Amino acid sequence: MEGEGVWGQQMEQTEPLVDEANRADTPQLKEGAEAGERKRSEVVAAARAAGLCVEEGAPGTQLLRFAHGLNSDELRLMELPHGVLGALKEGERSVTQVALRVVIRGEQGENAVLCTEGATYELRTADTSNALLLVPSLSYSQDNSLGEDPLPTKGVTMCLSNYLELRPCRPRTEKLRQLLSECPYRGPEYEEEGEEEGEEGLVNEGEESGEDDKDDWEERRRTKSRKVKIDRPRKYMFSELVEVVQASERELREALQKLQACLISGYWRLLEADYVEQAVQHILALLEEKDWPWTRVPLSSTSHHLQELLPRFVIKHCLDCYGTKISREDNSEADTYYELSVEKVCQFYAVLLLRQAGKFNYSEFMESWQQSVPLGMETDLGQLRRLALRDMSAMPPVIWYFPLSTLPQEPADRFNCLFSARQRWTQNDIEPYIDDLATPTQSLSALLLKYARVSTVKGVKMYNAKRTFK
Amino acid sequence: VKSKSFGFRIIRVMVQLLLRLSNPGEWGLVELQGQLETRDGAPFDGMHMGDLHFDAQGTPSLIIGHHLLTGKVVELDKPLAVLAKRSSKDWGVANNDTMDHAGNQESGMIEYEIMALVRKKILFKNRPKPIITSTLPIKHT
Repeated sequence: MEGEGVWGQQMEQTEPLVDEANRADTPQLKEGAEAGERKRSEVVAAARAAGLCVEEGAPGTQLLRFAHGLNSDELRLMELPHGVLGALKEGERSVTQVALRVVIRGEQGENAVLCTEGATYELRTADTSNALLLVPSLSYSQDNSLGEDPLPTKGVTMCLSNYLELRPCRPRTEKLRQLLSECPYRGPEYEEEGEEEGEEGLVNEGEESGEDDKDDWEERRRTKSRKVKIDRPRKYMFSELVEVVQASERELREALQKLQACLISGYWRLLEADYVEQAVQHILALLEEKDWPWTRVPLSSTSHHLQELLPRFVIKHCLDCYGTKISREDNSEADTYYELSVEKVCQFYAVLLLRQAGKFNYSEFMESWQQSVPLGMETDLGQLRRLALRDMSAMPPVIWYFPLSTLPQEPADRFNCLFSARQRWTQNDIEPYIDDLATPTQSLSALLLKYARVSTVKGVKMYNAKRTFK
Repeated sequence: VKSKSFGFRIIRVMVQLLLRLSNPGEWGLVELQGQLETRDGAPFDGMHMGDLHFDAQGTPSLIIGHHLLTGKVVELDKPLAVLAKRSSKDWGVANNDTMDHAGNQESGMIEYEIMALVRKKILFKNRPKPIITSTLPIKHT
């Protein structure tokens, strides 16, 4: 056969063997080694020349050839960490359930993320210096189908040098607060006509109302047909939030719960801080006036008495945020009762006081604080974790409002903020302000190692800034 | 993203890609160290790449040009998915899912299909050995 021998046309150039040895590192394809059947005998001869023990029947041999239209399909390879394949199968099984979809969400300036129902992964391109050849019908061992004439040819359809990597990451929910702050709820009088039916399916209600919510939103999505192009401050439905926040649906719900968002007429809203403050104060004042115990707050009676001031759903939202519903097995009660949380109510009053101005005299604050809380509740420094910082070495000692919720989410920025507020931190003090940053791949101690410098002062381990960021 | 008049804010809509998995087959993968090249950058299409031999023990050997590479079959600890871009129209009949389409059209989701999974690969990472040809009769045209 013309020029089809194993050594093809290269040999015609009679290059010395020395040159071949020098090019030992780069296997090169033969020019013009186009299709045309290569006889089994040639292939076997070549293999034996290479020192391989190959039988005449060549049972373990396949020929690899580049397909026509190589790489034209623009296929990508993506590594699947444990759990993602399962999520994909689950999503396919229940194709109509939007929540079970596996979606890649990309935003300008940020790495894209892949979201399953419950987790978020950062998508990165891993470059390798290797050639990855995709051979769809490759055999991985000696095969019964081999050993025939002509020898089986397997096509290489793609030649890649990179693949997509998925790394578990925190959901990017910072944007959620920003979005929901566009249109906070400030009371029925500020709402558009016919929009104020409060939903009783609040986040804290748990799973029961959760299911209904999902179906309802699908309904709204279909009927209202809103585009998600946003160009002005507006309210958002869950289905819309899913499309603009880089998080999985479950993580989104958790974030909404953490933000204490409220479902109002199908939209997720934040209640304006001042409005909530007033509402809680109305409720607590009523309790005191009626001499009702804070361990047994009646929802309907409270709503009834406050109906001029607050919609019922707002009262329920406040009770859900600041207390827990008392569930009774026998359902004999006419009303729903709540037990207020000591911690949350004390925190409420602490924030009420601290938010008013900069730094407070520590001892004065502690006294006022205890006096302001309902009878029977005890204030405690531990309740101020993630809310306030103290400087006991100042003259006089001071305390000031420093809530975690206002700090940046990116670790570098977060640490920068922390060290600006206070130069040196003990482990105990800094942990509450960074433990939300830990991920499966980066532990708390790893974070501290990366962003802080340790020193020991009077036998106590202290953290300070490694270097100035930015 | 067009900029509206100064009274309005802009939020860039995220790009969303929906991943679909429909009975993917299993494809093979061969990994070579370094890159393949042709003598003068000619396109690879249709070109013969090499001869792949398995011995009785399952050790793979690959002959490319006049180099011999020895490798091994490796099980991937994380399978690879082969993604292909698809438009939502391609899913039409097979899906019978009108709600899905309405939803997709609204939000403009691009769909990627996982055509195949790769669970194993043949890895060649040893240095290629040049095959000495002096003992073999050479064929000429």
